[in-house]
Amino acid sequence: MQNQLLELINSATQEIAVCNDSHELVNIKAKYLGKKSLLSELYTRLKEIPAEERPAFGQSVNLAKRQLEELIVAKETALRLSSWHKVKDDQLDLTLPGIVPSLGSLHPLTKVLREIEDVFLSMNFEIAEGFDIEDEFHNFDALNTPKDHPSRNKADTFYLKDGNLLRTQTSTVQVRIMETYPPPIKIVSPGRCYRNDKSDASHSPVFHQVEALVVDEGITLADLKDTLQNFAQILFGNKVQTRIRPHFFPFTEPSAEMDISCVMCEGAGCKVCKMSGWLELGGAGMVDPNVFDILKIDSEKYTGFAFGLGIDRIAMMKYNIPDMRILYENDVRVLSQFR
Amino acid sequence: MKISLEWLKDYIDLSINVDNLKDVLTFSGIEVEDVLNVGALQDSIITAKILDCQLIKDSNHLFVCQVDTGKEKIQVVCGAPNCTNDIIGILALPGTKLGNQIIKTTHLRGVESSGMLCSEKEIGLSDNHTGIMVLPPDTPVGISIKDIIKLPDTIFELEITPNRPDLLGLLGIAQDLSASTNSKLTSPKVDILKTAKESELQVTDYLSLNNINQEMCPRYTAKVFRNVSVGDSPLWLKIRLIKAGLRPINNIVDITNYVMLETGHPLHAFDYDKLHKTDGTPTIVIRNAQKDESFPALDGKTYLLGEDDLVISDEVKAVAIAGIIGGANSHITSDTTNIVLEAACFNHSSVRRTAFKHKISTDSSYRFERQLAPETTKYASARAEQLIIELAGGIACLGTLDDWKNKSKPVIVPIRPGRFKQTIGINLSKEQIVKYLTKLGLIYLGEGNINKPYPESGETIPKVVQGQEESLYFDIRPLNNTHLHEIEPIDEALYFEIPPKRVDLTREIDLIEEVIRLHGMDKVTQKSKITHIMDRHAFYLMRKTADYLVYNGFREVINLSFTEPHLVNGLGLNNDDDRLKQIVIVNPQNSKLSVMRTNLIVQLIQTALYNLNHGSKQLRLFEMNKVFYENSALPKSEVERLSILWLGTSEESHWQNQARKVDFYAIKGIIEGLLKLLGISDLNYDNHVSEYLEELESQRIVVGHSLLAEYGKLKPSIAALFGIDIIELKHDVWIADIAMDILITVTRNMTNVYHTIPRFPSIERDISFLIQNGISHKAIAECVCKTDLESISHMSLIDEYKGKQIPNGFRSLTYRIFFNHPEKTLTDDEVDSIIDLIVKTLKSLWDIQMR
Ligand SMILES: [Zn+2]
Repeated sequence: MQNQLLELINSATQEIAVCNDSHELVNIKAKYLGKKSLLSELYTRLKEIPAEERPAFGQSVNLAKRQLEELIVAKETALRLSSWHKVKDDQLDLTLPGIVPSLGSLHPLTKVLREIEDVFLSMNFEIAEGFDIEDEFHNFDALNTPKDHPSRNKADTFYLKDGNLLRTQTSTVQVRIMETYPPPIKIVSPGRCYRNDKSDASHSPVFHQVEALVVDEGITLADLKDTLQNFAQILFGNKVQTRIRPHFFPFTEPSAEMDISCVMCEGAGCKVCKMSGWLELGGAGMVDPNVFDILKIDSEKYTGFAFGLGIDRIAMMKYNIPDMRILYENDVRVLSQFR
Repeated sequence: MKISLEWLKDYIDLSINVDNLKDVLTFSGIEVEDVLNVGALQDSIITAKILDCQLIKDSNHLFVCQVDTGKEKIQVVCGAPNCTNDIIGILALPGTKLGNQIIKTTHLRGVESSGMLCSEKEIGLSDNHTGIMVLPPDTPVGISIKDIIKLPDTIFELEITPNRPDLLGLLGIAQDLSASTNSKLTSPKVDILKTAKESELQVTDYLSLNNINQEMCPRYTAKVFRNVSVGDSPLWLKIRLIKAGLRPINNIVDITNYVMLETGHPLHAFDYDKLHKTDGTPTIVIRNAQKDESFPALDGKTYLLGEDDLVISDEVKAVAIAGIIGGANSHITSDTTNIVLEAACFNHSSVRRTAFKHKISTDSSYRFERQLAPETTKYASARAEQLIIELAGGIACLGTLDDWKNKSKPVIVPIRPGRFKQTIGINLSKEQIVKYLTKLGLIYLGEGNINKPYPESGETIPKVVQGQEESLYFDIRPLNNTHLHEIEPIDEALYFEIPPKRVDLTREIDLIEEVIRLHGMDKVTQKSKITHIMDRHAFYLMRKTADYLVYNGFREVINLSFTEPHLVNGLGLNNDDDRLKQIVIVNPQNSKLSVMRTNLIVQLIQTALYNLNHGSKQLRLFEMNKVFYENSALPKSEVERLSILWLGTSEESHWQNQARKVDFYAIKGIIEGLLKLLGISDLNYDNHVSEYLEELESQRIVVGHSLLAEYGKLKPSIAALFGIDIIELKHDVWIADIAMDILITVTRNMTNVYHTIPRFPSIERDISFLIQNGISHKAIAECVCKTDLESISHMSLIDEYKGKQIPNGFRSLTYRIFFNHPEKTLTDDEVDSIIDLIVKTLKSLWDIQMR
């Protein structure tokens, strides 16, 4: 009988091992462990063996039963898992590409604009929006531009039928803000500007500017230099140097042009910077007291600075784009390069 | 710490009301955790004498009392365990309002009761409700109680920060308030010289002192009183202790507690006759406990002490754990006649360590843990002496045993008005700074080179402490030229000597803090302000919208604001459409750039054509920018707009499956997703779309009277007009156009707040309907949701099917309905009956069958 038991265990173990199907496993379970199974038959024949051997044999039958039960449970689990994973004969080709969701892109001008906005927001500036369609007062008069100033020419400025015009600079927002809000003022205003320039590699009749204006007590040229240097280093990296040099604008006094060290050659001199090591960034200066007077701000109490930057020019510098027209062509082969 | 306003006013002339006082405390850095207004009591609450007190038959706790009200005898039932004959209690007569209840004549267990004998809690004095409040036997009967217990009163519960041990008593609070409110201090005058002088007994004849641990006990003083009569404290003293949250015990213990509450310095009194005497006079030994020394404390527990615990002992046994708790072997009882009064200073970290180790927290340990100054013991001791002689009689032995070896030097701290301005940002004059700090008890020594005016070295310099004239009963640190010469003079600096109790003031910045605390941080003005010029909502909404499109695969394009005048006609718009009112440029560069664009769609189609011509097969483009109309006044002639162009497949096709072509539901989904992201729901849809869109495959969304968005299929004829051949392309062109100005307006004041998630599990059921064409999904969905607004949380369409098994002119819609009741778990039966109702309703309305 001991032999019978061993045989039974062997064959059951083998059958469980090769079983590949959960229905089959149910049958195996019935065959060996069920009510009319081979194992329960051994129990009924327990009385056939000598009484003194019975307890030991009974124990080994119990042990065998427990072992087989464990094997079956383990197999059940394995079968369930394998059906879940749909394991097939062939392996996954892990080198096949993943399913990537569609990704679009922001226009390079928007990317640069956002960076500029974020730099200024982090320096506690507020963002103020203005109008593209403006009148002569806000675009010229309030900005201290003489009546016969050449920039008022139709050759430079687009006029509309009703006498209004398309703003030639975002400085118009300065005027609108100073008309409405008392100092302190600390704003940047990004937006579209229009000038009667023929489209070429570095010009477009429609272009983008961002204007910064700070008016408060105790604002000096040093604050302008500070802001400019901080702005340039956040945008172009901390190796970038800035400088200002005297210039003329009707609405700032003193006025200056702002340069940054060439982002291509780091100031060593190259084709982009025409071997000068410097790139022009935009115009700046201290708000002319006349502008304050026109806008009824106490020019004795308050001082302020303003500067304007060309966003298109900065985008071209930052992304090494050689021709401004590329920005307005909207070729997806170009757009898809910007992440 | 609880402070009674009535009591506080003993020490300071306060002329501000309770609300203001709360603010003054809060803004001078003393946090008010709670303000308890103990209201005025009605005149119908009177003192009354219990003449006779008997248990009610059938009750084991209710007494029937015959009570003398002064005018008459009335019967009152009382359940207090301490109710007994011949005591004077507090009686609320019928009609009295107490809290929320009105006292009435009632019957309890069939016995009439015409009033209520009150506990401390019932009259709002404390939380004690263990029995009725018993008044001293000499209290007159039948008088209103409110004058006796000084009500109304206000109790402030204060949180004292750990750096301010000087605020642990009423005098400290008063001193601080005198500085912050510029009020006069009226500290109690200690005047006991007479009584002490009459005594011929010398303290040294009765007691000796042996301080073994100077470090853990920098100062120990003891006085001896003889022939005191221990008994109840007077009512005013008891009431004050009760208001501060302490229990009255006997006059001696109450006096030590009273002086602690007043001065912030804990005292301890013990029975002189319980001290061990070897040869005539006992000795108090301040020593470390022995290892495993057992100590029976006043709280009834026995503590097993260790060698790092400090004890006060006689020559045999410990009588107190220093600064923490007294012993049961020596405490004051009614039999005590001779007492020792301890006023000492213990090291704060040692007290904290021992209290923490043995888990004992007492009013005394709370204060010592916060570092008290040895100098404050003298006043506390003198004040207790005054009260003991006044209230317990007896004779004070002459002199004080005082062990104080390591006296501190005066602490002198400079403050520069310029540094104050540099740190705080506002200017205060020298005079203002001096005023605030001297009000706090600091002694102003002068400005700049202060070591000049006192030529004779070694001589003590006289000084005047605000509110407390120099007296025998204050310990001050003697100041002489040696101290002044140690100072390196700073021009402009104001020099102050710090009172010993202000252990927290050691540096200039500490004084700067004190000055601004008293002056008021609210007086510091904002330096620069934001003008709120920026429209942050619009700014971030536009960014979010663009980001959403980018993350859904769309590429942003930017076109010029100029365009060719005739192009817009290609859209086939109605004659009155705003988009035909183009703004003309007087001096254009050329005819192709001669008008301002009124829409973004034309250029978007041109951009699509350009890219198709350059090999693109799939296009997802958008532009967000301004458009311009003629004939409207500024600023309305320019508005923000968003247009989307989509052709190709609705998702990125990949090797696993072929992507579907863009269809109406794809472009609608993009818009719906955006609106969902921005939190807009409850939309009105219709199909009155612009003429360039295919009417049957396009839709628009209206908010109020404004068009928010329209989207759908570009008419192939119009696409052809712009050069896009739909047949050849094998794709339709899908367009969406969104009014950003409207989108910004409708989202402007939207909030995003938390909603409680359902407490009960949700049940979902799928159900299919056979629906005749012409009945919309929307109609069915609204009808289903209305069936049971409480139980149906939401539903979603999971399948639309036309084909086999579905008759012509019909379709099958399958919905998943989610049931969730806010107050219960729905049963299957309940859900079934709701579904029955839905089926019946749809059947009766539109003859819809369930599948
Ligand atoms: Zn260069």
